[in-house]
Amino acid sequence: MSNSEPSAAPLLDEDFLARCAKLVLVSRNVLQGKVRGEKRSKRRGMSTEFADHRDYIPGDDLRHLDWNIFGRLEKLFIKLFEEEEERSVFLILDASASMSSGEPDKWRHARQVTAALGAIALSSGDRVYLRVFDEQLRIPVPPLRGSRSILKLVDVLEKLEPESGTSLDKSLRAHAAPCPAGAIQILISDLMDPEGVESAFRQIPGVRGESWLIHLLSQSEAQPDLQGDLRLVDSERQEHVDVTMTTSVLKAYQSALSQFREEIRDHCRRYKIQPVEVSTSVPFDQVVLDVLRQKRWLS
Amino acid sequence: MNIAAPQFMGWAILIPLLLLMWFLKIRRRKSEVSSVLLWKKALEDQRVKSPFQRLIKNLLLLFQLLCLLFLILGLLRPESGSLIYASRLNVIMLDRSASMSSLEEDGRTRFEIAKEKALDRIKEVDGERAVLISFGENAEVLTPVTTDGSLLTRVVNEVMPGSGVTNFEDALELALSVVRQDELIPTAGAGSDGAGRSDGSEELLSNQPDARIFLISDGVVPEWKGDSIEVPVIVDSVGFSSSNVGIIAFAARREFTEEGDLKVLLELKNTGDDPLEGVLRLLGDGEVLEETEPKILEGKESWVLSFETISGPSLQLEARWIPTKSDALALDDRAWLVLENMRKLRVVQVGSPNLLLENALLVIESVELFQIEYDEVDPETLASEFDVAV
Repeated sequence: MSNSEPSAAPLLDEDFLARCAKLVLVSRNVLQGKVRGEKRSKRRGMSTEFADHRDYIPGDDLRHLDWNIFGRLEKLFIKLFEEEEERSVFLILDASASMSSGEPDKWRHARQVTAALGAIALSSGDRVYLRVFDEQLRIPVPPLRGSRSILKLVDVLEKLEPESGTSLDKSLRAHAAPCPAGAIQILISDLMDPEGVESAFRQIPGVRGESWLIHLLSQSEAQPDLQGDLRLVDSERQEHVDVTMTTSVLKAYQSALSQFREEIRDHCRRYKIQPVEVSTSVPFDQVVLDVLRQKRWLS
Repeated sequence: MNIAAPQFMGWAILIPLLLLMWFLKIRRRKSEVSSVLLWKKALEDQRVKSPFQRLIKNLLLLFQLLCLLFLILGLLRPESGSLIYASRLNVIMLDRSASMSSLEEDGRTRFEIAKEKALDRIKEVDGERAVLISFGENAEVLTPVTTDGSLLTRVVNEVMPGSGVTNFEDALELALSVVRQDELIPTAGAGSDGAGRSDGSEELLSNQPDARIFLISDGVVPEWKGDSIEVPVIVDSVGFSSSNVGIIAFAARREFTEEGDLKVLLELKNTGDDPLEGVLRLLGDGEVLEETEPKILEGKESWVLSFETISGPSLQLEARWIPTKSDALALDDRAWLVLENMRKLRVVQVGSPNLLLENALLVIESVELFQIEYDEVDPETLASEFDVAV
């Protein structure tokens, strides 16, 4: 799969989905799902994987009594198993108009990464919540669970269209209110919000679970190839700037971009959000299979 | 540097116009970007760091600007060789003659009022070039030609009133020579056409330097008999009071008469228009020798008076006009003379001695007697050697 593929092609092909099935999202914090899932929790509970023993307390389920030990030692011990819990994975996709511009196609790239992470989560038994936002948060599909939902997730993502402006803070506030602790929150965005990102990042602190950020910029944003006298028109707001491209202007842009990225990293450190800077020049499958694995988000 | 044709300065408006046309001329290609956030920030930094970067990049615009600049400079006809910007020359002439010490009704002297007027003129010509000349019996240039108002102000404040009469002719000659020698003075017009012809009016304009003379005085400027004055002369008159009696002549001679040993001659004049009353007092070494009855002098009236008095060995003689009410100028109310020591009367007796006469003359202390023969008499030198010949 490469960047040159037509926009009408499916976001994920079968081969890639098969490779996703072997991967799992790695969270370092305690899981607190409501139903038992397939993730090993640090909590001891009911599953098939034996973990430890503890003394019998009246009222315990005798089905978990270790009869072998009782037979040998005539002491009552309850077998403990690693509890497998269902994890909540929130995929928060920026669907503002700024995501639709740039070369290679940033919007398709963002949806492919989102679909891949969603497929990995669903195939490993996590519950997936898809959230998209522009000026407000939208829920395009109810929570998904199980491998069978992968196609639905992909289908929903394929039908999404980027809308106008960005309000990161307002959208993440709306998301954070019902988001359970311990969930994995993955924000996929270019973060082009004139109001800044700090207040928004405060809504998804990593201490409540796992917070990941995929900061996506197109190749034309990272390394603009512009020349001459231009009127640069903002894709979201009715704004423009007139600029005559010179080496010094491009240097100044690179300086502003570096400063912007550094600010993002600072805010991520403050709120314990793990960032990954991704360029659309890197194919999405390489991002998922190489970059995110190197970051130990996937195993 | 001097600008010969400042009227073309208005062409400089073409420079911003050219820039405006350039900015309007630029046709920008539209290009959509995800966000202009970073571009705005980059351009902001860019503007702060190098606001003229864009001009430097645009060599064609720079070339056009330079052409326009040279064209305007050519029209302005700059001339080199000058030290400072040539502006109008203002010659400020301050009268410091004796009459300027006259008191006015407000208690200030005319000179103080004249200095105030001079300071006002200096403020008025701020930014232009000026030179300060003081005059009385002699005229003197007090400052170089300068635009430094503080220098002019300081010098005006330091000038002291002088004595003597006002010599307007010399003062105006000096002022005109300053104007004529000043090479920086721009002329008011072109003067002649390309072929060297000129009509009267143009010639007048071309010969008229951009200068003016401020004459601050209490006197009436006499009719000017010199060369034509080609610059405007603005007279600032000071002084309104015209009641003044002054001693204008004072002489004395030791002369032995029945009334005394000193003959004194005095002349007083009321130079004003109003009558003034007073007495004249004569003093010898501070002692009153004589004093007249009160006398009224009408306007412009002269009063000649003489005294024959006994001064004795007095050496300093003083005449003092004591007005009943104060007059305008106290300076000319007093006059002094220093007398020679009394000498003995040289009396010569010609011919054979006459004891009777000799004894009679020797009784007088102030007589010194000489005896010569008839053949020793030289009629030409006799009068100068002796006072009396018997």
